[in-house]
Amino acid sequence: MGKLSVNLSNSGNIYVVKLGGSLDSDTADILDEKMEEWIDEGKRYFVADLADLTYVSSAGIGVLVGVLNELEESGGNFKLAPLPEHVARVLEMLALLDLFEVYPDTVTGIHSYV
Amino acid sequence: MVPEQISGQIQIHPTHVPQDERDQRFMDFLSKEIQRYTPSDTFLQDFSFGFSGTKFTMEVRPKLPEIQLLRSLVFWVLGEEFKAPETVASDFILAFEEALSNVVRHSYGPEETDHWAKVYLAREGDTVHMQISDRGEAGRTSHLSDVLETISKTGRPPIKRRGGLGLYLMRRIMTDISYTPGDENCLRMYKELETNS
Repeated sequence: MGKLSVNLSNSGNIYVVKLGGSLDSDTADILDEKMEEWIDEGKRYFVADLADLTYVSSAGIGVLVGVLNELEESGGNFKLAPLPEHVARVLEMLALLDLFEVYPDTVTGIHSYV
Repeated sequence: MVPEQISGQIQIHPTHVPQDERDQRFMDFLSKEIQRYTPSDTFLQDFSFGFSGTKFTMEVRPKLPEIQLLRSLVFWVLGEEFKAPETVASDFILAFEEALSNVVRHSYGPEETDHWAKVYLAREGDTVHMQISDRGEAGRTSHLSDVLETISKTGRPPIKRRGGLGLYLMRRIMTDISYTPGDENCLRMYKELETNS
């Protein structure tokens, strides 16, 4: 069974990272490595589509926060659009929800950069 | 002994015989989940479980990719057997993942291959208990007690790119949590079902 899918698409210089499956202690490295690669390539503006995430643990949240911090330091951003309720709940429990800009869908998330 | 397929079910352990309908239900569910998550060939050889009243234990030697399967089993026990509300079961799964991944990642050294862990779940009235034990070197995780105490005092998560959030999450989810290093390091936690906040 597939564990975590990470797919990238773009609208100009705004990149949509679509995640699917489980973002946990086993799979968080997958996202971490992909994001490092894309940031190294100079990509800075991201929208994370989390609609198909079935599970997230603190390891996954740690990667999301780390990516956000790294992008913000270089003038970029990592926005969540959409953010499923079960992921929002974990972010809220970790007192980290306010760190992120959240939008109801990827189109709105992309337009937020304009 | 290699586990054998018997009438569509997987014999969990060479000597395991279902004790009752509950055992059989669990084995049926386990069989389906094994098909779904395809754990390592040694997973079944190292896996054992037992029910006793409102208590459940399982012994495993997990690898990180198998935690997803184990999460599913714990969720099933909590929901199907302990009749915990889904939100409570979901919270327990979060805590279980954190605790077990800590065992796999930190309790045992990189040269060790025997990542033994024992998971204990029990429902006592409106309280659900979980205990995760391991036999890793206590010195690798003895700091956990201090981290838990710091979290309790400050009420804040340790912010790092990776790591540190898991214990805070467990502390937020559970009514109480404690860690005792020793010959068997033991992480104990419980949640009162009436205060699911």
